[in-house]
Amino acid sequence: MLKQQSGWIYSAIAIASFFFAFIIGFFIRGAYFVGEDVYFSQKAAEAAILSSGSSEVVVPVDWGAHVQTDGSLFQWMFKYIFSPLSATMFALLAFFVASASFRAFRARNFEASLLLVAGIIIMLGRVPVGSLISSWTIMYILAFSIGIGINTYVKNRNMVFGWILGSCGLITGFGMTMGWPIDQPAIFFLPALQEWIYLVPNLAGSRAILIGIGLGIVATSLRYIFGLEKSYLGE
Amino acid sequence: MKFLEDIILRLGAVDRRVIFVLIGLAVLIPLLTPISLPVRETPTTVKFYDGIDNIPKNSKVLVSFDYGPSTRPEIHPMNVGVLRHMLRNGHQIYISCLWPDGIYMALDALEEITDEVNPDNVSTFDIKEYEDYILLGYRPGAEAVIKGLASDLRKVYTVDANGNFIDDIEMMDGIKNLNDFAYIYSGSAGYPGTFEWVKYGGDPTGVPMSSGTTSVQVNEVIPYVQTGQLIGLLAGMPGAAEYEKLINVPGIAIQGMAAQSFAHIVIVFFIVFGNLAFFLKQRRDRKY
Repeated sequence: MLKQQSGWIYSAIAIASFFFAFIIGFFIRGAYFVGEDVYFSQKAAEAAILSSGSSEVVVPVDWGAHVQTDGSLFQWMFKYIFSPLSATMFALLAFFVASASFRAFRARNFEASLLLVAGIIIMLGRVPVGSLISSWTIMYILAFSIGIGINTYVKNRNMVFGWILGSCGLITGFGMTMGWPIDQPAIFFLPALQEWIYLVPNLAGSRAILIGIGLGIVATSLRYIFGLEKSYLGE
Repeated sequence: MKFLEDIILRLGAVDRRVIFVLIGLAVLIPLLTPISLPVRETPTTVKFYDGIDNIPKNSKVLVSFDYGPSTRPEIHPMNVGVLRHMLRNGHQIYISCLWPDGIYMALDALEEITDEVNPDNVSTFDIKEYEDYILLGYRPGAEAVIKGLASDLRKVYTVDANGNFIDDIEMMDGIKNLNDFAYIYSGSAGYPGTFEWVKYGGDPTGVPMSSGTTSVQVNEVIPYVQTGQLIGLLAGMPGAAEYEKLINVPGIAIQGMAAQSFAHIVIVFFIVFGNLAFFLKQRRDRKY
């Protein structure tokens, strides 16, 4: 900041904010009560008593409790400066996630494609709009996607035509027989599918990581205990 | 066909500011003009609801506010819902905070509940501090605080958030440590939070516990649900909306579901078009 390097003004604001929070936390109490009413300064509270002619006395809030009492400057700062700024910073995530996923979330190989499909299922399945998408729609999309795959890799028009006709006919036939229930077959219903992803593959992966971390801690601890790990001594 | 490909390629190279504007609109419009979307309960949320509903009536429960304003939209509706559910069942609530901002969140949640009135303008919950709830407040130390609560609560909290001595508060009679609570709930947005409560609070004492977390934490926390170390889980804002539906008090989380739904649709739309443009570009590059 002293060298006035690029962005020094932000450092100045950060340091000023620190002192502002420090001073209002430790030296400015605020919150002077006259009955149920609260005033920021003792003068204002006394003026209110004089103007109303009441016999009440000014009761300042206890030090320490003032940071969470309505009417104190610290509480005001938390409510009207810190909270909106924190919420804004976190909300920016939505914009950057959208922009980053648009630019970087590519189906470059099998693993990336799997992640992409799982991500889309989770994103749609977690929110109410996912339960409005019928499992039959998903089945049709799947049938057409497989058709695109056959066309791309096998390059046989008859096979593609046969697949699309056969699969769509089968889906339509089953749909008409079952009465097109929106959540049946459950395996193609996005909310059920996302729940399965959470509770089976994701859970297995998370558990593997947790067990791996646990075993790693045990192994490192044993290395320390038996004197095999000496890096902490500077070796 | 070439015309269509050109459009997709152009969409694939769209300026990021356009994406920002579209995401902004996708969130803003449903918030300004509320759209009702059906909320469907997931098994983990139902398990969570049942866990709280099955606590014996008029029990003593510990609720921890382990989040701040940044994650308030996700966690706060859950905690308000949990407080409502617990108060409805006559429990006495002991509120602790592992995050310094947690105390403000707790005060806001309590204010929201005390201000709530029914159509006849009568308070829904006639609750009183030191009778129905106590705000123990924030203590620094994360895991150390939980371990302290598990062994001797009065060593961690000598005074409550208002500066009153714990030993002088009638509601604290008979409370020595975590074992004296029937249930522990943590509304957590990260560290310290759910993990720490499970490891140092719920597991060592055997007191049943559950948690509400942000969506990004669910992946890590979900193993604890399957093992029974957590009785259900509220997962992000959708979890909060499902819980609001179960307790039959529609709130901000249900209202927020439309905004989240549209934002997710916009993101999925961009992912799909980004990939289409990527493949088309690859194909054209191969041709020339």
